[in-house]
Amino acid sequence: MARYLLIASGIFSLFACSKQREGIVRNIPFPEHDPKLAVTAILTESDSIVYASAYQSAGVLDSAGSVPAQDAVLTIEWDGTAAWSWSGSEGKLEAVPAANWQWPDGGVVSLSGEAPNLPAVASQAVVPPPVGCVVDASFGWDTVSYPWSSEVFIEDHFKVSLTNHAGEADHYLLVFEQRYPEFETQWTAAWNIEANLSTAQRLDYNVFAGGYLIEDLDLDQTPFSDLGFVSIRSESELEGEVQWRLRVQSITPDLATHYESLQAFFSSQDNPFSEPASVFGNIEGGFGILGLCRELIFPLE
Amino acid sequence: MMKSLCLILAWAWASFAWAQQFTLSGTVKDAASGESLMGATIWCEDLAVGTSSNTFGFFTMTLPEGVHDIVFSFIGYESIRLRVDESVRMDVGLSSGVALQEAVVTASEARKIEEQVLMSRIEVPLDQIRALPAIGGEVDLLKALQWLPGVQSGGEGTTGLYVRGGSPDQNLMLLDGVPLYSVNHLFGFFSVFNADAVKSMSLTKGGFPARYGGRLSSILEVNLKDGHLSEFHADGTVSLIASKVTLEGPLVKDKASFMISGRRTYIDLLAKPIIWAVNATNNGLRTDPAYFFQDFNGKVHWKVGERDRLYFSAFNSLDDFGIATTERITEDNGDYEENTADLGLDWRNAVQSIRWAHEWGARLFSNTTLTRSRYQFNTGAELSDASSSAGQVTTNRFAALYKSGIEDLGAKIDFEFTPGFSHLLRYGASYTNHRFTPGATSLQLEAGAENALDTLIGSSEIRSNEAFAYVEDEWELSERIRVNVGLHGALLAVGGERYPSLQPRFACNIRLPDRSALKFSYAQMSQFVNLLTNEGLSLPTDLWVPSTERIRPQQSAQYAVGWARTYGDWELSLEGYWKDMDGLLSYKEGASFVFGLDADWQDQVVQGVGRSVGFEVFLQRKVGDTKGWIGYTLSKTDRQFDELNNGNRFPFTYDRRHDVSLVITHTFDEAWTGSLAWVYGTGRALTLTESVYTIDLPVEGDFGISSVDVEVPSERNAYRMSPYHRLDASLTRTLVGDKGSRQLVLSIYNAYNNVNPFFAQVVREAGNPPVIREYGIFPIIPSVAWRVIF
Repeated sequence: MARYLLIASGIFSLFACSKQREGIVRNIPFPEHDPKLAVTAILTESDSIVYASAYQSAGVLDSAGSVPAQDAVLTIEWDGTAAWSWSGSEGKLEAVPAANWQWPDGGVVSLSGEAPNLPAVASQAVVPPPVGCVVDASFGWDTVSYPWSSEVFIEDHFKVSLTNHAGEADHYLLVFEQRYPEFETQWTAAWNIEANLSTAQRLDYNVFAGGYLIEDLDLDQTPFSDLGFVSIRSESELEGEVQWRLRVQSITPDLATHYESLQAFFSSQDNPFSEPASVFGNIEGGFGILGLCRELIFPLE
Repeated sequence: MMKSLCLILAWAWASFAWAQQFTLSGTVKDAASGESLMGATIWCEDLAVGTSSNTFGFFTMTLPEGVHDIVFSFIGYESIRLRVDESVRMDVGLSSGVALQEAVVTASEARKIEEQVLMSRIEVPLDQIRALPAIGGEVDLLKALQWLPGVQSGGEGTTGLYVRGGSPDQNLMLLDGVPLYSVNHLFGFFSVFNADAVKSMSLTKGGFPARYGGRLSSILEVNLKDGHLSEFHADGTVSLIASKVTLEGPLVKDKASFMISGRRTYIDLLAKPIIWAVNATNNGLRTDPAYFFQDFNGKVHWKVGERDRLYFSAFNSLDDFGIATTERITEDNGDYEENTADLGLDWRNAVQSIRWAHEWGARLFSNTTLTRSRYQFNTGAELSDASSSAGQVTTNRFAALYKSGIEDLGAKIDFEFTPGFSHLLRYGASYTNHRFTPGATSLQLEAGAENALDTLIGSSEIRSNEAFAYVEDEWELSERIRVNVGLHGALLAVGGERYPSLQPRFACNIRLPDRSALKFSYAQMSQFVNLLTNEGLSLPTDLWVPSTERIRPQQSAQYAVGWARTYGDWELSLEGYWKDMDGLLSYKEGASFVFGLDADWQDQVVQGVGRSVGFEVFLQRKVGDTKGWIGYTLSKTDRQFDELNNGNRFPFTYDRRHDVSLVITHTFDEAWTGSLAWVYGTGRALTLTESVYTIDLPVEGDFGISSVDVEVPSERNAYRMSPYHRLDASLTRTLVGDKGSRQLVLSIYNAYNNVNPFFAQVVREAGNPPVIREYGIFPIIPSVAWRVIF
């Protein structure tokens, strides 16, 4: 009797496995979503064209997803005066401010935004300190070979030292760019420049910022001097064919947090063992970020 | 000041008024095997006072001058009644009901729940656990504990214990007094405790007496069998999952005994012929996957003299998973190219202890313990290729090995002293040296004859020293009021930091006129070690890390109030508790155990607070043909971290509002025993995406990123999976022969095949709103096991 019971149970369990594999579908009682304005305004001092984006958020049940906010108007002001406005329905917006405009040192920059049928949004950010930076681009001309290639490579070394404002948390973004002047006018991210190992412990490469973030949230404990980088190129690439430059930005703390959270969010999407993450924003009444940057550009020659 | 002095004098008078008292002491043991019986009741009938034997079976009881009737009893054993009128030391042997086949101790003769000062402590008889249904026929002690009120499981089928809103690292798991850091086999689906080697098990969830420390939520004490002192015995079981064998017997009759027990799974061995057959059909491609776990328990017990016993215990466990693939392509001219990939991970425990139990006299007992506990996790990958062309062979090899672990060396001494009729003093001290290796990766690259790379990267070793001392007094204030009051002082030294901690403990029992009892307790606890883990699965990759200069210790304060009463063979207890926790550790948003090679784990975590409030009902019957319990827990547990969920409180992942368990074992006759276990629990909390928005980045970042959609999650853990419920059943047929007995155990896990969600996924199908799809992993699983005992 026990034998038959066992056989019957075994057969039943085979069918039962498919039920486990298919899973059980359940409708989720999601709450109704009230659309909000999602604004991204990352502004770099003196840019001749400034960009922002304005989208309308969507509930997860909405199959259309997030769409450009119609007739959105965004305004930037400081010192009580409107500096410029964006308007449009395309999502991606651009505006042309006065030439060589500058932030007031330590001033407060405000953003306000509205669009029909969406709640108004607002945000503020304090202008970050100006960039203080020394770049030592003494090329090493070391030739190296790697086991995975028969080609000989050249390593050039750079050193970057940033100003550390005592008692304050500094936030910098270092972006290496390159171009082949014979073929290109635009600069693009330089893929072959990396932080060396001791420097890498102080930096975080951020895909969304396109560069390295360095911060001293521990108030001056993180040294900002002698940040070492190395570029690798093959010997066959002749000198002068490629140009490099380093953009050093001093950025607002919220922007640094925003970049970090973006990276954490997308990393967690692909990692089943990762903790869930959300993207940081500072837009009251909506989503998104107002970030301010001050910048110096160093040609690496 | 004067008042304090009077109190001290009164205590001293009460404690040391020995002149009109005498002391009964000794040990309680199994009459046949000589095994000491922990938790046996020694009850003075005329005074209605009693005590219990300790872990080593030792007891001491001071009585006022006169003639007293003393009853020695233990569940499942025949009780013994003795008349005493003077100080005497005795070794009392109780005969097991199984051996006698006659009436044995009932609950009414044992020490009743309402007479025990301590609360929130459960001792589940091992024979009852062994009779419960088990997945694959493999009895698991930790899964049985999950059926108790106040104890919740993690994911489906796993052995994680979440006690009163705590996390698994807040449970101190002691195997013969030695802390175990990983109690999981097969990613947590089985525990390392081999039921055949275990003598007793108890779980303390709250009201911790001062002798316990180091964890916030529970103390699980598992004691191995000492070994039969006079006869050799063997116990073997073959189940679908594993086979195990336990041997015990005398080394020197009535003087020294041993117990060894081993267990191993054999899926890898059974699968080998199939793998070979598959490989034979794949010309040039060979794949060898393998997984097994094994564990070994060993113990030697030596009665050095009437008052001295030595114990040596050892425990080893190993889980080993690996998959190796080799592909070889051979040309007609004999040239070849061979690529090999070998991936593996293993995790292992190694534990040893030496214990010396000594009776200094009738009133003083001591236990000295030296321990070593080591847990290690390794995972590695090795990729190599070899090619031969015209007789010239070229090889390349890349290997990466990640290691993490913890090793403890400890010493502990505990004393029990009975200064007088109304006091039992316990005091002692402990020291542990921890050596943490939170994660190091070695990389090797060999190209041809050159070593291109050979380096070690990762977290460095951290050492910490932990010490504590305690004193507690179980004090009978009056006929109706008993208290256990104590102080536990602990100190952690790590790097240049010192974390001292004074933890008061208090428990009180007030007997009511209707023979029930009201109980209160308060306990502060500190914890100096932390487990970095992703909620949900207990993975071997989970990292044990210490409190450091940057990571403060975890602390808790738990208040509990309860009521207990015995009705015939039934014990009923009601308990409510409130637990505040501080210094809880959690990964940051988006963090994962896979750190960057240069990352520090301390940068990946945040600390916060937690709170758990609950009410538990426990109705238990330990004796008779039908035994079991009904447990119900109503609870609410939340967490708050400044850096998570915008700083707002959120439900703990294992916050379970309702938790019900019904466990029954029934003996039909000498041959047939059956059991049923049904559990129900509120669904696990989870976070889901509620909305989405687009952002445009002003500069094209790497890989052409300029516009991305960002999902906005709900408040953390705002949603729930479906409730969990499951029925397990088992039927055991026992055949008794001349030389022993055999048992055939049939069991069914998840008898009505409910899909209990192990994980949930939001599924979006074109044209339809998203739905949540919940996946289970264990359907109905029938199993059979064969056990031979002689």
